[in-house]
Amino acid sequence: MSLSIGSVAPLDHDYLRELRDLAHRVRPVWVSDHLCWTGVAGINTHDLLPLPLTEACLAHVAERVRAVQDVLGRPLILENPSTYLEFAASQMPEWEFLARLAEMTGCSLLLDVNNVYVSSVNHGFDPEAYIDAIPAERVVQIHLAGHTDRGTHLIDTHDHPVAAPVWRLYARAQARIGGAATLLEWDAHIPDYPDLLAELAKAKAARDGNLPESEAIGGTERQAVSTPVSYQLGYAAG
Amino acid sequence: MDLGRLQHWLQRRIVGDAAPPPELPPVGEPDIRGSAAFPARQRLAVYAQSYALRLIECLREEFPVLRLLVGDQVFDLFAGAYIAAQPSRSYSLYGLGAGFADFLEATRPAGTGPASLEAIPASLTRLERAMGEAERAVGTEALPGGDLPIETLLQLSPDLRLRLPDTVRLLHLEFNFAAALAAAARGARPDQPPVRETWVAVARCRYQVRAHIWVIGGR
Repeated sequence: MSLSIGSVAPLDHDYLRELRDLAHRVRPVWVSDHLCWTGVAGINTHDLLPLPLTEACLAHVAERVRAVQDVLGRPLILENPSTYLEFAASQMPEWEFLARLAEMTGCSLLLDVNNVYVSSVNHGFDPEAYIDAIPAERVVQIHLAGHTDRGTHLIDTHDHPVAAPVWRLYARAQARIGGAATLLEWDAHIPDYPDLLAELAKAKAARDGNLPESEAIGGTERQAVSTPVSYQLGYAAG
Repeated sequence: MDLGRLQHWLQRRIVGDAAPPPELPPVGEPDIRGSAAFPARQRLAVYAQSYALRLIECLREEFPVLRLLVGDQVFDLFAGAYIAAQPSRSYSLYGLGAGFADFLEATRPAGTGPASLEAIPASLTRLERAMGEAERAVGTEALPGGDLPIETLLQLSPDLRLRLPDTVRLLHLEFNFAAALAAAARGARPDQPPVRETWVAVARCRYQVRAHIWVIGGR
């Protein structure tokens, strides 16, 4: 998540070379990152920071996507992030920005339906309209996750069951896209394995149009951190 | 709206004064859409608070013994001050803790010596970082004969030249952290480590990292 595709900082070619070498070694089906920027002037915030959705920014990101694809020798996959602020200067909705970016560069899309829902609540747009407008033929994978409800806004925390409205969006997206691969993201407060499997079973049922009956909603917590990272760094002191 | 100015401005609002200011002066603040329930300043705060909490969480995971020794409140003060002074510059979060020991040493209260109570955090942080580095380094486990005793290797080839792998780190510390490491391994809060000049070899063998501690002039 450090491609920083929307940053004005020069592309990090050391990072890109390592990413390319890794891709050659493990031969993944897709290489993806997020529509965002993570830092400028040498700093990495390790966050998915929002972009102004303007014509100028679209041209800037498209140029960088083409450059990244030239280094990687493969199409890039870009994912919609959860966002907590948007700029008044934005000239188009996020789905249009992504659709035009895919058209301009040949990149594919990763549709995170929880992110669509989180952003829709935070910014007050219709999430179903987003799902209906995203170019289905460009979507190669769908992400599901739980979020935390902070009362006035939602935070993408990956530490709860998938919420009921997100299941509805997922079923709607799958009906349009036609059985895209699905990844359930659960990075913190990971449940017991049977509960995890049960959540996957819900995804399979929802993909086939059978929505889960539960109304799981993320809890309210004092300090909810988006994109938790503790799982990346644990080690056992000997 | 100039994208570069906007990104420098937002990064400074998130990271704080340690982020370099934009080369060009900002032309007013970008207009962020807000609502009565979720105003613009609160939206910015989501990013700023998440930034600090996320990185503090990383340091908590990387330095568990120090955290147990000083407690959550003091540890978070140390970590928050470090992050505020030295923002992450690596795409890997593993790079974040590399300068933590030097920061704690540089900010040790004036007039305190290297064997003082105030010097414990920097010293312990240096040890925990070495253990993390030893765990991640390229080791000898996959090499043929990598785990043979040294005597056997020398018998096979008397002219053998040896070098330390990156999975070995040598430290000279002012405290004996053996009991602290043992307590932390049990999940218990360590007692204050005794002042003892020690040599420490942090080494990984068969993917197990251990700290071998020799007390200088003692048993």
